[in-house]
Amino acid sequence: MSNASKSEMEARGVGASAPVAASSPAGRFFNSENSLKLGSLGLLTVLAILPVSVFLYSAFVTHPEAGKSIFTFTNFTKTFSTSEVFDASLNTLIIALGTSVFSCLTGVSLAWFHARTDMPFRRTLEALTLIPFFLSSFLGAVAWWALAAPRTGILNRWMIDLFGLSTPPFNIYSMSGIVMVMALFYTPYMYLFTIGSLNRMDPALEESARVCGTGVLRTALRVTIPLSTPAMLSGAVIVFVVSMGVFGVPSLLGPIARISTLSTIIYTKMEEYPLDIGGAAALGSVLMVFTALGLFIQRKIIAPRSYVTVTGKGYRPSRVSLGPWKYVALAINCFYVLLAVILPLGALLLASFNRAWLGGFRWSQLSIYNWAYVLFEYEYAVRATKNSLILGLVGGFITVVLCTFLSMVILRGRNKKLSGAVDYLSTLPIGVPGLIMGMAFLITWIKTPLYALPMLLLMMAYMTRYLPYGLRTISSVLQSLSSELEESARICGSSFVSTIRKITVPLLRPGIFAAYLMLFIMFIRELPVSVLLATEDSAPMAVALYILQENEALGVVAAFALVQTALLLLGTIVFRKLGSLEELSV
Amino acid sequence: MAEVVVKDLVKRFGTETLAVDNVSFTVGEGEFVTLLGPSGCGKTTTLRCIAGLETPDEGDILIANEVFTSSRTGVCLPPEKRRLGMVFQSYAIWPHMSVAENVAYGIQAQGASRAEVTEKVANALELVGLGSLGERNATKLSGGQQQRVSLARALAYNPRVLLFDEPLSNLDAKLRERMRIELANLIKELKLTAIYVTHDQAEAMVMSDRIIVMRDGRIQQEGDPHATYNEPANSFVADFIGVTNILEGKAGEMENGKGLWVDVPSLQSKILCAKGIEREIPSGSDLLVTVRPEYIEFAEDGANDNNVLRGRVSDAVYLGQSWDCLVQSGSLELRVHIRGDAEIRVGQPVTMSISPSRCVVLRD
Repeated sequence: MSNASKSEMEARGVGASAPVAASSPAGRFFNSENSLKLGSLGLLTVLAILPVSVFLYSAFVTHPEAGKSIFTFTNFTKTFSTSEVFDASLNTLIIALGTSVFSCLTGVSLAWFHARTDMPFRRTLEALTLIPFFLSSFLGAVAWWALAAPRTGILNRWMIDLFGLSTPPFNIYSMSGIVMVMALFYTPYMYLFTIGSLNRMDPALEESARVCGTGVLRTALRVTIPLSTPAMLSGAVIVFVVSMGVFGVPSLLGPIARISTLSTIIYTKMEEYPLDIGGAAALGSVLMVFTALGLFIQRKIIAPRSYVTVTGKGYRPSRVSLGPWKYVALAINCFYVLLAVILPLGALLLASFNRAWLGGFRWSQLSIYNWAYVLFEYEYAVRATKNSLILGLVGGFITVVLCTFLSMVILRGRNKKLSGAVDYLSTLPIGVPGLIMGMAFLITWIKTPLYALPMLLLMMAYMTRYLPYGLRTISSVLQSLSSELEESARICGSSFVSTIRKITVPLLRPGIFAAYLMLFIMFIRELPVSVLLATEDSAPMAVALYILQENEALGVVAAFALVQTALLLLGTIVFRKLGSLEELSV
Repeated sequence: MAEVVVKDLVKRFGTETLAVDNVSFTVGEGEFVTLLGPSGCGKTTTLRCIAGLETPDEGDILIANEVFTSSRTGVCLPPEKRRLGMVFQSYAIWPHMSVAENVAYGIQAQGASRAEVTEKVANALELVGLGSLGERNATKLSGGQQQRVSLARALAYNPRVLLFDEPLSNLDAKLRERMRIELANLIKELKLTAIYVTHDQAEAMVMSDRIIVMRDGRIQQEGDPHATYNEPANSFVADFIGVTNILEGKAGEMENGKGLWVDVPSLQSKILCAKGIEREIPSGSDLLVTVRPEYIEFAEDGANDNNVLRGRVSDAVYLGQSWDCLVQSGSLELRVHIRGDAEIRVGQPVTMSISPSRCVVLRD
């Protein structure tokens, strides 16, 4: 009314007559926040976009003579017209499909047992079921090679001795062998993908189905599983694309049965004469397109459809009573742990303590020779251990610093457009299989001074490839921190930088340690990026293991694999102590 | 003069949403001004622009004649250069620091000596009644205590203006009512200038010297609590603050010195309105009139110049201190509040008497 309008006029009047302090119309766009964001974009372009572009470019050029390049599709037509590549593509699809189907079946059942049922010994088995996640499928392949190689495999020898068989029953050098090892070691991924949605699901959803008169199994099949289908499908798609790009398992178990995959062919084209960089890049770009397509489907189509099954109310998760079936569930879980943890680690352990291995452990041959050899005498192995430790500790540290910085750039600040661009660029490496990232770095930097520093190059490649994983861990913690915590520090008079130092980083500590641990684990066991990029001197442990299994006795290989396992275990314990991580969310 | 001047403030989110649409107001030194409105009305965004947490697209913000933000010159001081204090809805207590460390943070940021910090922390904690809890872990405190820590932290370094973003909305009802009065008294005692954001009209009434009602990014009304309640500018303000009856009518003739006659067809009656008629109202134009339920009395006969309406009680709820009645009159049901000692029966015929000074013509 009149009152209101009068004071409004007053406000305008006073405002207009108030003196305006003179100040420079500083270029608003180039403030400190935008400069940080543009800097991040630049860094990510050099780390990720440049190598991948060079890689894609090399798929489309040929060099008929030195110093001359022609744009062409020959690399594609020539490569894809061979029957070898056709078979490899088919094998790659079979492996990826088999791995995702079987790991989905086991992973989802185990997650359901642990999250929703009254199966006994759940807590112990939960920890055991996740162990393969900390190892790697390549380590699993090495162990299963010791277990089920036709002539020397421990299991085969036992079966022959026990039942007097004339031929060995298991053959790990086969398509089913490859798929089994892959499925065993990707089961924890599926498990982790589904257990979250199962844990958080409101039990009333299941209870109402029970009240309506459906039994335990029917409720699980009609209500519980459908509700976690989006999470499951997400996991299955990711396992599918990851296993398409896997190099270690097929390259170890495939050659004897003449099973090749796209990744093993790319490796051969890059490592053996005649080199065929164009052909390798053509194959790699096809693999990359499929990976990107799978991830696109997962992110844009499946993930948005997940159900909101969490209510705001506090509830006590109640469990489904399985009756006598709980022992069946227990048996299934124990069998999984037997195949994925006890047998592989047991076989490596036995083999590592016998100097000469003939398919069975002999007390008479008990020796610590292999251990002493890989730990102290064998220079290549010792150097590899040192390299991996440097990569894991230093590389992991630099990556975690970068991830922390990027997650703040993405989630905080006012310019949402630049944040979105940084977010997009830093997620891209997920779509590039490790072997291709290694190849891209190799062909981009091989003729530059950087190639003289192979450890640095490896570190950069690791950083780029695994950036999205560290970023996701830290971002999820940062997202849960109210930005008011930082804003109130700013208003109290502390600058942007000192707010980060005194408020944000201390509060992010659990996330930072979890990310550092995860990156340490990934870097210590890393094979695909390194296998093309590492030199003799800079070879990390996984590459050394790959070379060892070609040239050394099983005992040496086993001891070295166990050294790697011990490092992973030790790292986990130390990091958890330091970060006081109650529960590690990966 | 810690006077806050906000002038022609505009803030857009994206290209579509206009969060703050040309808002101007001033806050005098030592004044307690509340920005009141439903969620999404732009009150918090306005406050965050003052704090420097958002950059406005247009407009100027000056405090004590110093330019904090000006879209014309491109000045936008970062929050830490403004020397303001702010209490957040979530309290924003840093969980990795003790109570004393939380409060000390702002003083340290000003570069005070160690002895000075200790003294100021102790003073601030004393002020909010947490003198003995300095060494406690801040997150182990109750909601009300955390609220006090947050207040102590904002007070500790003598800010020029205190900003409050719905600070009491996470407390339970009883505690909230106590804290309102305590907080308002403390601000007055310390002679602080305060801008307070809330959606709770009772809170705004109790605490403020002046209330600014906002909706859809615009100021609807500005005035002291009494004027805002008794002479609402439009139906939104009338409805948002308290309970009211809104009647549709047509302007009749002006009776000199007494008010405007408004024809209300649904009541089959004309009522005389004495408020909200300072502006030019053409005869015959459609308008709205508001009457608060507690200003309607049951009487045998209309006193003096009062409007008289007849009706029948169609529903009555007894609340102890009052009756909340619905009275059918014409085709309308009027909400009427009657003192609790009266005897009311449903179906009872009643005569209602309303003073013209309680009948307000709205501006929409």
